[in-house]
This record gives sequence, C-alpha cells and structure tokens, in this order.
Amino acid sequence: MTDIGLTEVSKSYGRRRVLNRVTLDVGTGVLGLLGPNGAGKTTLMRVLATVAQADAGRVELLGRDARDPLAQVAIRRRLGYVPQETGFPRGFTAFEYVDYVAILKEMTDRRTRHDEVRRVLETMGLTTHARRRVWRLSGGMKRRLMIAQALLSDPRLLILDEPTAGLDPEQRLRLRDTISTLAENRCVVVSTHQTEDVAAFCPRLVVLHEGSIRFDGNPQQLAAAAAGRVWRSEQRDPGARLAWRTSDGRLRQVGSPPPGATLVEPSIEDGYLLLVGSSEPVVKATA
Amino acid sequence: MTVWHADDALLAAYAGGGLDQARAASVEQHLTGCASCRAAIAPHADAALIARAWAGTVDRLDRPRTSPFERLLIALGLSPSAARLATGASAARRAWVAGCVLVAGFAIAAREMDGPMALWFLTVAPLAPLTGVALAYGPGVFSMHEVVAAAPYPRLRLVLLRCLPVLPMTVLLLVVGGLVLPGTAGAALWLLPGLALAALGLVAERLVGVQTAIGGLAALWMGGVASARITTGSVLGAFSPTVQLLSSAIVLGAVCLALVGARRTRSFW
Amino acid sequence: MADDAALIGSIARGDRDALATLYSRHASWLQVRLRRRCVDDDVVAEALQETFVAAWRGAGRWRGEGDVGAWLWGIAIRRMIDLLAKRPRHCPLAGVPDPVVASAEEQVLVRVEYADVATALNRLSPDLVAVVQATVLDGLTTREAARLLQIPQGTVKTRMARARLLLREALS
Repeated sequence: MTDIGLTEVSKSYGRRRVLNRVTLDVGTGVLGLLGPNGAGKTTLMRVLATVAQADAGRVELLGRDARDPLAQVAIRRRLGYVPQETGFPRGFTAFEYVDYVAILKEMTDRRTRHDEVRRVLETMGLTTHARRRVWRLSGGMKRRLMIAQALLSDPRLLILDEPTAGLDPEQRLRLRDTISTLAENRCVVVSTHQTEDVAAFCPRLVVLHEGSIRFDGNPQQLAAAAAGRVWRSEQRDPGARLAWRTSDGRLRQVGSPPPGATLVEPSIEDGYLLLVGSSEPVVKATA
Repeated sequence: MTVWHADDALLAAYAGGGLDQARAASVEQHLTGCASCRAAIAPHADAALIARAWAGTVDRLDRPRTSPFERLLIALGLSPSAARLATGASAARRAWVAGCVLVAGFAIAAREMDGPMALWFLTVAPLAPLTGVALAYGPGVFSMHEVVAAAPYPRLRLVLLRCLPVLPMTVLLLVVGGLVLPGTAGAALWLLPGLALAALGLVAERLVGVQTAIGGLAALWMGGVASARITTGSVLGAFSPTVQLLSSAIVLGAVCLALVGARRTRSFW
Repeated sequence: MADDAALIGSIARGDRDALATLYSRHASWLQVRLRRRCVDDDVVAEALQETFVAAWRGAGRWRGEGDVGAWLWGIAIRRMIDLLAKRPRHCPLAGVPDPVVASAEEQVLVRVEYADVATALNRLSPDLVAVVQATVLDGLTTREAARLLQIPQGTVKTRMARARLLLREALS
C-alpha cells in the first residue's frame, strides 16, 4: 500500500527553488531521508506533514490529495509530526503539553484523552517526568516529548524531522528501537544528516541534494555507489575529492585513484559523500 | 510485635462478610498493624474495583490545573477542552495581568489630570485588542506553530478561541473609559476601531506573520491619529463617524468571512 | 524494600512509583474494610481513589508518627463518610452476618479472657453494633459516626449509651 505518493513536486521560496520535481512512493516501513543542510529536507518533511503546500506537482498522502482542504483534515487525523524546531509554551508540564496537542487532535473526552496521553508518555519513557515543567527537562527529554505527542491517536503516517538530534548515544539507540517497532505497521519518514542512523535502521533511504532526489535505494546500494572510488594510500592526492587520515595512520581518499593506492571496501558514508560532495576537492584531516 | 497471623480461611471469611462482629473487629484491629496479613488478604479483595480506583487516582493526579479564567469560560458554556485551548497556552498570562493593571493605573492617573490624558487614553486604547491578539499568538504559543499546523483541529475555531482572552481586556477598557471620559458615549469611541484593528491583525497575520502584522497596524493607527490631529486639530478626528463606519464595515466583513470560511473549508483557516 | 514511612517520604517528593507501591500494599485491605461498611461499590471505589489522592497531596504533612496503615484508614473512612453524605440515597450498611459457631480460629483470635466480650458484642442488635464499631473500633467522633450511619447525632449517643449498658450487664 502506498502511504505517500509524490509526483513531480516542486516548491520555491521567492527565487530559490527548494524542491525540484521530487517523485517518491513510500509504504509501510522506515524511510531515511538524508541530505546536507539546505538540501530541502525540512521543506519536504513539511510538505509531507501538510504544513507547507507544494507549488507544483501532486502530493498524495494516505490516498488523498493533500491540497484539498477537507482531505487535509482527514490526513491530519492519521498523521504524527515532529518538526525540527521544537518550541514549548512556558509553564506547561510534560503532561499538559501532550494533553494540549491531544485536544488539537480532536480528543474531546477527558478520560480517554488522558489515558492516551499516559500511553504515549509511557512509550517514550517519560512517565516519571510527566508532572515536571517542560523547560526543566533536558534536551533529550524534550526531544522524546516531541515524539510522544506525534504518537497520539496511533497515526498511520509518522513524519520525524531530525528526531535523533541532541540525543546522547544511549537515547539514540533506544529511539532506533522505538522507531523500528513503530514502523512494523505504519509508514515512518525520518530525516537525518547522520549516516550511521540510516545504516542502522532504515531499510530504504533517499538522498536529497539541492532540492532533487539523488539516490533512492537501500544502504548497501548507496555504499556500492562508491565502489571502485575509495582508496587507501600513504600520501595525500591533490585530485581526491575527500581525504582523511584514519586510525591506522593512512589516508582514506574518495575520488580518483592516487598513485600507489589500494582499493578499499566503500561505506554508506563514502557513497553519500560522493553524491553530495562539492565538485571542489575538500580535505578533512582527522588524527 | 505480634507473632500471630490470621490464616487464609479467616481472612476469606472476613472479606466475604461471613464473620461475626467481634471477630471481624478483631481481624480489623490486627490488619491495621500487620503488613503480612494485609498482603495476604489481597486475593480476597475485589481486584477489578481496585484497578478501577487506581485508574481513577492516576487520572485525578494528572488532571491539569485550571486557571480561574478557564473555569469562567467553562461556566459560560464552553467545553472544557475548548477552554483549555483558549487559555492553556497563554504563555503571556502574566503579561496580560500586567497589562490590565497598567490600564487601570492609567485610568486613575487620567482621572486626576483629565483633559489631555483622556485623549491619550483614546489614542492608545484601540491598540489593546490588537495587542491581545498578538499575545494570543505570543512567543510561547508561536513556538508550537508547526505542531498546531499539522493537527486536524479547525483553524478558525482555534484562532477565535485564542482571541477569547482579549475579551476581558476589552471590557475592562470600556469600563475604564467610562470612568475617564466625559459622557459614556465618548468611552465607547475607541471600541469599533479597536476591534477593526484586531480583525485586520488576524487577517494580516496569515499573510505577513504576526510581528509584522501587529507592528505595521500599530504604526498605521498612530500615524492616522497624528495626521488627524494635524488636519483637524484634535485627536478626536481619528474617531470621526467615517472612521467608525469603516471600522464596523471591517468588523462585519471579518465576521462574515469567518462564518463563510468556517462553513466552506473548515481547515483553510 | 522500602518501608511504608520511606514510601511516604518519596511520595512527598513527587515519586509516582512510590505511590503505586503504597497502593499495591494497602488498597486490598482498605477495600475489604470499606466494603464491610458500605455495599455500594461505586462509593468504595471513589473513597479508595480519594484516599490515595489525599495521601499524594498530604504526604508532605505526614510527621512520621504512628502506622501508615492507620493513617490511611483514617483518611479512607472519613472520605467515605463525606461521599455518603453527598449521596441522596442511603447507602445500606453491609448486613450483619449470622452468628458463627465458635471455631478453632476463634480460640486463637479471641483469647479466653475476651470470650465474654465477644459473646456480648455479638448479642447486641445490628444497630447498636454499628454504633460501637464506628465510635470505638473506627475511632470516629459522634458527628462522623452519625454521618456514616445516616442517623442523628443524638441517636448515636443514645445507642452508644444503651450498648455500653448492655455490655456492662453481660460482663458483670
């Protein structure tokens, strides 16, 4: 079943074109959306969350036209959205915040609504913090609180914009677990700029660069895209796109073969860098 | 410490109501002080009732605190969830109270000095409902904008609910105006322009964003008052019948637009 | 495992898990005991619920004197009285059971020297027993007992005097 169907979707802000003829079909499971800052990720996520409207092309969400106002309401009833910018009204407790969003999601009966609020707080491990003021929660907890509100009323479509940002490694692992579980019977789109995230829990990933889809496939395919272009050598090659010194003291270089280099197994990161790396050679040196 | 414990048959008889008064009393006295017998009686208690009471307890503890204004809205017939939307995220509640106090203080000062002060009051008062709308969209609420935009709640209804806290301010200004200005008719002069500015603010917010909308309209109004003073020699020129008529047209138009909009596309707003 | 007093301390600091533990320890016997005084399950459930809400809010004021169980019961019985007072209809008291033949347990429970008291108590009429139970065993004031039993305060006093007289006669 197709939950998201984008056909030739474009969007501009003024003269700047942020989405350029994006075509994408997504069904059950996790889709990882990868791309550098300014690639149009957040705009695409906002279009998927019905918050932004496309200028051209067709956006079909859960089988309905996202530009039809009545269909929008129907879509929003089955949608959970974690925006990138997260702000909280001052003075709210964690419980009150989620409760407020629950009212916006049309849950009018207080008892059932509060049961639902407790359920999503429990899912995100926030039960013991439910009565604390939001501004006193740590960054990771606020992030989890945002995801908790998105889980209200068990949405079919989950749009998570950078959910792992600001989480410590343990919380990130927990979140992967949660997202994988959620994706068993729903459509989840996760945007991130961390390649290890997509490698870990996204069976399918899309690379967005300068408003266009540059890659659509599984992580192995992305790594394979760099096959034959990743080298290891003792000296820096000025023609390499990227080069950095790894823990074994030698240089890992992406691009054309430097003299005397040996070919190495590419990683997802290599494939990603080749897709989005600028044409100018960039050199990063890490000890 | 007691070494004697009630056995299961005795506890069962007690729980089932099949024990005479003296022995039941005896068991109760024992239970009050004996943790192990209290634990042992659990199988004879009504588990469903206990689970229900726990759910009720948790529900009571989680129930968000309601502000007096929220309770007032509920008393006036608004549903509790709608009242929550109207007042819950008013992060600017304190600013609101401060504003009311300021207006009251202003009024008292104006009474002492009368004349020019009253005219100043007239100049500033129409901006109050607009400021109220701005506060309804205050930074605290505005920070939730993305989440709100993705929710199915009818947009127009939400906007109107959030503007509800503007009402007490408007009423207060009307009362204060009545005290300050000579004649009750004069006190109401500011009301229509004020509401018109608030309505324009709501429309402009959707087009240019809240800060620009509020700032622009406030500047426009102050400019209008200043030019009225220059051309007609009095601030009251800004409250001429023409302005009043125009204002009522704007307010009426906004209300009609809102009603039609609500009926045709609930989510457009 | 934390004892009850420590749990109250945690509850006072806002620990919801501590309240859950306290509930799991005390809800059962409180429910049974309340149920013996009122057959309306809704009233019992609500009294139980309000007891723990009050415990959550009042934990900070608990001075650590006496038994937590007794403290909870004190709250529970008074909450139930308040609830009964609000109800338009009378909540029938749990029926007084048939006299039970003295069993082996009784020999243990009611020591030989108290056997006479037990017999005397069991012989009282249900109305009088209810008053004795409320005032002596539950430790309620005359006013509270009157509200629990839904009878005037004067009646509580006269029934108590009568019960005292009958018990004294039986024991002399």
